Amino acid sequence: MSRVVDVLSIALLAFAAIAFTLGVKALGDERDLAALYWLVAGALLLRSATDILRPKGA
Amino acid sequence: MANTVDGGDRGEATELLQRANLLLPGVYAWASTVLYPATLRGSGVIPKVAAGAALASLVAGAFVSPRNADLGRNLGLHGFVGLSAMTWVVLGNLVRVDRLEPMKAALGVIGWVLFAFGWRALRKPTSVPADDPHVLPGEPLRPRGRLPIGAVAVLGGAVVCAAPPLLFAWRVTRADHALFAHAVGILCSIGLVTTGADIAVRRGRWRPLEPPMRRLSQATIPLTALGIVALAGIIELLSN
Repeated sequence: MSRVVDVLSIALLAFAAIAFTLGVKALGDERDLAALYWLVAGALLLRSATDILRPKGA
Repeated sequence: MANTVDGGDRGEATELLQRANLLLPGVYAWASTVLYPATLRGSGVIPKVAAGAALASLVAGAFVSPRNADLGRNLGLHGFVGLSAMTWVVLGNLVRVDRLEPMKAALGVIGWVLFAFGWRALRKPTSVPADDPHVLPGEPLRPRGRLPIGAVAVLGGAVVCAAPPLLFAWRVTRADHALFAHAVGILCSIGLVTTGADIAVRRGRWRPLEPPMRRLSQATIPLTALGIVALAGIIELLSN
């Protein structure tokens, strides 16, 4: 289970990278709402990836 | 005598390497981002003169630098960058964001990054701590911990993943949005590399402290928000 959480954090990081890429790509395609959506999703994915690794109180 | 000759050869080789480090990326950055727009039709004489002066400043700086670092830096770094910037300013609309080719611009960025690395210099240590007379004798101290397995791979993956947002920012052609896209791309890349480093180092360190479910519960707020965002995306996708 512990190892699964480790893998989950790395997966969340990878998904964050994909979301950021899609966000900036959508900005280039003039789809501003989609860009905002993917950038917010990327930020949340990144935050989740770090929070599940951080010791309590840190 | 042989040692002197060897020392002289080594010195010349070092100077040559130093010049090549400055000249090669500098000329590449200049050719891709300064020469190219300066030679476009309708650019006029002043940009061409400024571009030529920038190259001359770079070459002079590279040749002077090994013997006179300050003068070399003023010519090869400040002079070159200043004259290149002046070329772009006098080119005006010819270097507007929507007129740039994304691939050439991205390659130009790589050229300027390499040029910046070419000017790197390590500070010479004023004293070696181990030579201090008060130093305690004995075996050097060993680190108490080791990096988790796969730390380098995780960090390497994060660095690779940080590149696409920077590259895709060059696809944004709307003038108002282009700068924003670059800022967002840089922020995303910094976030990915920082988080990647965090994950690479922290993995495996929590074991005696935190049970897995508590670790997951620490991320409740961002994971819940993520679920809401994902749900909104799915609803939007289905409604279309």
